Amino acid sequence: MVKNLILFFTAITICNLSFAQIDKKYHPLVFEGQLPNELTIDYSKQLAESIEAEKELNPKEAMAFYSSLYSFKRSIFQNGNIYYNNVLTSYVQSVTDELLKNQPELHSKIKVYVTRYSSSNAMTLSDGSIFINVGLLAVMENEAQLAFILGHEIAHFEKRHAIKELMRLKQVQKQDKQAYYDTDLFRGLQYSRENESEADSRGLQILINSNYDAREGIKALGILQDTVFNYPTLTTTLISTFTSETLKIDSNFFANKNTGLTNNNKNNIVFGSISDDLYSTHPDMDKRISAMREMLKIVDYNFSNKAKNVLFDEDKTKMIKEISFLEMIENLYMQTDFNISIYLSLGTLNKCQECDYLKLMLIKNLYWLSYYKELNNIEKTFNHQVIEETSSLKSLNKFFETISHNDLKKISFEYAKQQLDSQKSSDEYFLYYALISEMYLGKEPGKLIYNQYLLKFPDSKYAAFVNQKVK
Amino acid sequence: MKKYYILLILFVSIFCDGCRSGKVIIERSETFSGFSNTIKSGKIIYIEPEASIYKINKEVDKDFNYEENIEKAVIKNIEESAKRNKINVSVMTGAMKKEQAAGYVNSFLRLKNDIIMANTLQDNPLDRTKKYSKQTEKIFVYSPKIFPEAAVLSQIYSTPYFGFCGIFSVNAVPKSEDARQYMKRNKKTISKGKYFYFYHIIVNVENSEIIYREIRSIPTDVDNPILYTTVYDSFYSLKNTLRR
Repeated sequence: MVKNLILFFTAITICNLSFAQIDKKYHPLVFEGQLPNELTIDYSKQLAESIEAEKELNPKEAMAFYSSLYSFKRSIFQNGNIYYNNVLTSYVQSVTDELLKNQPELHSKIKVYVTRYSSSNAMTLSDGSIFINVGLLAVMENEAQLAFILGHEIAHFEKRHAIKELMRLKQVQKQDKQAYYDTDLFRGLQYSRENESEADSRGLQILINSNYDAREGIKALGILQDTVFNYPTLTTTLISTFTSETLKIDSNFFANKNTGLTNNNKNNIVFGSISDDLYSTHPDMDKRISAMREMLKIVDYNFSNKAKNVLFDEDKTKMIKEISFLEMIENLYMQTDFNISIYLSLGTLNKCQECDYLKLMLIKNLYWLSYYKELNNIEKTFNHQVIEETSSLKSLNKFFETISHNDLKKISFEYAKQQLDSQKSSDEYFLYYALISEMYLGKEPGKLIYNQYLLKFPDSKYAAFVNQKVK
Repeated sequence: MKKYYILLILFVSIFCDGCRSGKVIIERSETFSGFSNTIKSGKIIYIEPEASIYKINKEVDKDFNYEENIEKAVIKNIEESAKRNKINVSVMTGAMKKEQAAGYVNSFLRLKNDIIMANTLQDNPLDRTKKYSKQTEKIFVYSPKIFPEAAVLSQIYSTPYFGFCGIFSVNAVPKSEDARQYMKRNKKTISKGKYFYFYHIIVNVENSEIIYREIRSIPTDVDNPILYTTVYDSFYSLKNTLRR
């Protein structure tokens, strides 16, 4: 019980953004400057070089391995999932520089990128590319925690885990040509967990050798384990946000047991462990945290001698966390995960009533959800993997599934109309207001609002689009 | 009598041609609202073609060089086919990307994602009910929509028309458990079996609609002549649609 309470408050603390630093009229990050090399580079040349340099795999195996690697790498860049030259990338780069300042050779082989993905995760490719998800930056509390994650990923590269795992599996297949899928999978998972433990250990070592507080590594794992974007008062916010003079939402809907929601997701907990790691690529998080605690104890880790200034640049970290969170909402919208984008916007709106950006995101997401609702395709847009499905998220999903498409359109229209005053200067908002009006009221009233748009924003970047609508 | 022999040989040869694995089948060809009236005046800018080829047996094999060679061949074929069919196109390649770096990174790359999402999510809205025939499953309630934010591209590139061509192929060994699991995880895009599709999509960013879409199935071991024929035929169909 006590543990659950601690977890609950940790989760609330993690996700409790006060938006103290960010301008209330936040604008998503945009790229400026020259075209990044990653978008023009000749990957086939890199592939040939990697195969030639590969010593452990035979040429055929190396070809298959690096083919998949570069195919993935090229697609991640060419599908626009990477940030370039902005505050997030320079922050991550500065932490990497600090972490590896005493290891120039290793540093030169590492290239760190920030992705637009919203899950709290990071990954490494065998060519030294490390990808940190913006969703991870949104939950890390300080530089040292991010440094541990980077150290862990660097260890995967340094120890060539991907290649080692492949070779071990090949070895198994050689010994037992009849090895079935389950056997391979089981062994593969075991090898993967071993690699993860080794990466934790090496990551911690890198952190100990740096100016960062190694104890933060343990906290970072704790955050990854417990991060839940949980908004216990979400239904109240939803009702108060979308209720208007002409629209009343029945609050009994959320009290109804038939919504199929249960608050207890952890019915099967035995001895405090949520799940067994037998079927997981990563070891159980409790196990990883305990292992790291023991390691710090054994090496008699003493932090007091280290420089403190690089450890907790609180203002900067807070700003990065807030930007990352808002970018997460933007990226979820771009990836058509409208329900989660609404969920995070609504959950945060409570803490930042004046954040016009959150309101704009609500309007944009509501427009598209209404569109998909009318196509009878709304469930296709529901993603169940990006963030943990809390009871409040399930409740919101159920709300969108149950509500009629007319009512959803009405909510969208009424909410957009409510925001007219506060969003006066935003052409993007007015565009969506017009789109929603057209969708709910019909083409002719919609045209009138498009005309208003052209009067208000004649030189807008969407003018051509609106002109088409007026025609 | 000779005449009958000739006819018989002709009939047999047509029948054999229809049966051979190299036959190109147009799975779907759709045009949407306002297409023929508006596109005549505009240039179509093509996003770099994408070849996604999955060979799934025990593992998922991706042959990078094969994919890249197909992509290069598709670019070449788009340019040649469009020229022969007198359609004004340009494919987004190195120099064009560099000229408009910010527009390319901020809007163009996103457009590709939008097109893929629009196709994945807005297709077959009626298939869940089961009571409709296969034919009705293919009907769109509206023409598929992309995000209106893409409208900024028409200012950057001075045309509202953008195209996206590519190859999507799966060769999954049916009894392989790995293949089954992989498809389960990627059910949105990958389905069982062995298929090789060429797709051709055109959007009008100024009204945020997909205005033309075509899917052709072609042989799994594609060679350059087949690829050229496929792309050429696709542009020929496009030209005929423009004339209507």
